[in-house]
Amino acid sequence: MLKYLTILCVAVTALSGMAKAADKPELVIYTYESFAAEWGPGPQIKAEFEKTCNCTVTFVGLDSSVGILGRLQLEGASSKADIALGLDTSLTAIAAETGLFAEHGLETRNKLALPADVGFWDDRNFVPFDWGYFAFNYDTTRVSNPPSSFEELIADDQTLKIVIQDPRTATPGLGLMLWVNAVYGQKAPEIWAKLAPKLVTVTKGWWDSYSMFLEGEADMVLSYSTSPAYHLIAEGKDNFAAAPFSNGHYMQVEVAGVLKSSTKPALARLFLQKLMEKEMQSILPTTNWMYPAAKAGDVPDGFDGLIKPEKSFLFSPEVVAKNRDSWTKAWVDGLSQ
Amino acid sequence: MNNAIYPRLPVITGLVVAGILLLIGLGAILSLALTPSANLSKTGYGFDDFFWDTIFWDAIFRSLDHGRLFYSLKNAGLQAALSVVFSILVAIPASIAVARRPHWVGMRSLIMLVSLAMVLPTTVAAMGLLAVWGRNGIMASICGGLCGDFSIYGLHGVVIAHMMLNVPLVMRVMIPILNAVHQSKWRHAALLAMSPWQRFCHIEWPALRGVIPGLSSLIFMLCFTSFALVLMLGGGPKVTTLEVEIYAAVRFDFNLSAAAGLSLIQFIVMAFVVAGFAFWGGWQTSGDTRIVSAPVQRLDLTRFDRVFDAAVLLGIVLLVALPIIMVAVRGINPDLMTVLWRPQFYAAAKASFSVTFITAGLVTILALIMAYAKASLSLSHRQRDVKAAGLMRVLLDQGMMLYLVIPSVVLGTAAFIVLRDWGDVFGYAFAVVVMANTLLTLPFAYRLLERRLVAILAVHDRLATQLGVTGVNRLKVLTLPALRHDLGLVAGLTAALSMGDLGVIALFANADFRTLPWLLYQLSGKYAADEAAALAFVLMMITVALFWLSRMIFSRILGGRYA
Repeated sequence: MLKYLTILCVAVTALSGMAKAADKPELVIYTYESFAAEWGPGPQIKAEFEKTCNCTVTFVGLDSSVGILGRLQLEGASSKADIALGLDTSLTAIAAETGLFAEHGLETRNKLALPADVGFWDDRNFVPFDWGYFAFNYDTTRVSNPPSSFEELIADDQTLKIVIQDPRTATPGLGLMLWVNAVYGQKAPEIWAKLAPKLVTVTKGWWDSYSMFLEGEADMVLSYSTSPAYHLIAEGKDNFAAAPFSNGHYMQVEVAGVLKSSTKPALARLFLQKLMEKEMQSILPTTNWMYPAAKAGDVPDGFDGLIKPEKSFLFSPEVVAKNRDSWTKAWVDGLSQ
Repeated sequence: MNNAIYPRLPVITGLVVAGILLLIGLGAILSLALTPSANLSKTGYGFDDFFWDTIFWDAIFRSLDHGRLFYSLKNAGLQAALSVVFSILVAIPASIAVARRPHWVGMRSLIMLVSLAMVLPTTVAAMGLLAVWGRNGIMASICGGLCGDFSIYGLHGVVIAHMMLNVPLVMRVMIPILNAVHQSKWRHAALLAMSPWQRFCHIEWPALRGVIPGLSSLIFMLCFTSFALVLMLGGGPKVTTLEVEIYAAVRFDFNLSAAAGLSLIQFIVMAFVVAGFAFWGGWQTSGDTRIVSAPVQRLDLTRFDRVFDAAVLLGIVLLVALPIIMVAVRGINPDLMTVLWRPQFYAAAKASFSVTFITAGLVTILALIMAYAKASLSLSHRQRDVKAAGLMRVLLDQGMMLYLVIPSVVLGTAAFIVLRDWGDVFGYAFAVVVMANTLLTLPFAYRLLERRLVAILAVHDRLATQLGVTGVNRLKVLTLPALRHDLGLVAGLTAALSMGDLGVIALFANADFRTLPWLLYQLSGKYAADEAAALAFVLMMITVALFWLSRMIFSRILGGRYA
């Protein structure tokens, strides 16, 4: 009896194995939650790629972009992921250092639509897929005369109250920290000290801040320059705006990369290539609320009224990795005074 | 019972469970410490290396250099201590007022509303608080310019928010105790024409003081490890907790050994605090041991008491009830239907309910075991055994409480590290969330049950033993029916707490498994303030229903003819 059972088991296993082999290959993409969510770009991008790839795309939505990297570091070479999508350039140096990523092998020259200050994109592991500026947002019905630079923001007679995020827990919070260091360098600690009395509070995540801003607890919130486009396009509200700073704005560039451990590297690279083409790029602005990174992408009308900073900053990943610790300490000390 | 001073079986079972819980907590820290950090291409640490290099040098001294560790500890300690003192100070008069005014209009609704504060995700509760006390809140618009520059942000804001969350918990424990005070005492108070203060000193305080150490230790721990709320109301990084550093170490630095080191420090500090509280309260046995509570006629109340109660209750309304009402007001918006119609809502609700029911069942049973063990220990009256029993009680308290100080990001990551060798980690999501919720809610359940069991055993124990009603029989006939209201409350509270928890789910949520709080987190990623508010409201309503349901179920099942 036992013998027959064993044979049966083996047969079933073999059959199911064969069935699987005949199945379409599965492309597993780790990303952050709001990208994979039903209302995010994930479902549309999956549908677009599946039209032609003869494969199944599976988005795994992790709690944040930092969470993607954390997960990969925990899983190491045994990860099921083929692609990591949604890291930003403040994380790519650490990501590259793990040795988990393969070269993307794509030609990005002349294809990117990033601001000129970024210069030549020479990252061999990661390709950018969208980007945006960090900016202080306000409600035009409540604030008539927003500050137009950091100097005005921290001026003694400036009475607007702002809310920001902790750089130790939230990506935009980290963005502000890099922004101030890009503008002021060594003088950054002084800026933090002068910023402290203007703060309502510093929150753990972006949403805590943003909802406090929406409820009127703060006059300005650190968010993205593209946030007003959401209110305009999705809600039909035109009373939100980002304040353009004459100092220039720090950028967030979101990237994707192929994992060395992927068993379908060719398929993964094909995905990255498609990600840079018109169809997928044009999905991003109204689902992820960022600018497409490739020239091929269409930007909807609602983006026309957004601020267009003349100067933009983006540290190289190595600079961020080297200085983040000491800059964070200066941030804590400056704001604690 | 034989010759044993206290029944051995319940005590041993309780201690074993406490031991297992402690092991899970320490195991979580250890598994993080043993995982090579930052860069997996580096070789892993052995135990010796880990002990000397990783934790102590890397974590402690890295932080000590900049005073941040001490700063966080000092800061969190001060904040938690203030939160404890004020929560207890406010909860005592509030409990007294509620207990002696059962017939005042709206009292039942007030108690219901107050209970909700305990179970909301903390940032939702904080938004409610801001709607009342914030810059743009109700109070600011009522008093206009008169209030001057009052701002809720800062250390006091964090303490107020913690009061909002913890005063209800303390009231939940104290009100039944006050209800159980024998009618004759109040009659004596009236006959002797006691002043309110005398009455407090001679009747109310002796009844209540026994629960204060246990509650204080629970509140201290909750506040010491509070995170998102502290940042939100703290006004800046000046007000912080160690939890912020631990989170940053795990998530942004991926420095797992530093996180383990910091968690261990937090764990040790808390162990001392809990031990301190346990010794303070350890030898006090219960004052009043009456079990069944019937409405008591109070002839001792004066006009002063009426004014006093009204003032105290108004304070509770402003502190707790109004913020909760504001959460509801925000939530009833046109997007409510949108939220309810989302297929994701049903999937998440289903997952949440499964987690919740299993957790509630598990926690009720475990809490009963632990509380029974502790109550059995307090039966010991021989001088020689008191010390040993006291030590064991401290151990029970420790095992129970210390999980609260293991940050969920540490527990989640540890679970991940352990499970990753066992196949698809997401496949274990359900089990991991149930485990985390069980550990999270057990201390509350334990605190609610332990005092009642002491009282019940004190009354029943000798008689039952003499009559030969022992073992399972006694549990069935005497103990459980007498506890039915408390078990209902415990199950309801556990269900509610686990319904609202956004802890390890952050690491384990996936397309096939997500809970309602996770859906709330997801919605907030898309700017949808109204939808998020609506979902928070729905979550709150589900919680009310769970409370009601579990109390009903327990009263029905255990109500029987023996009650």
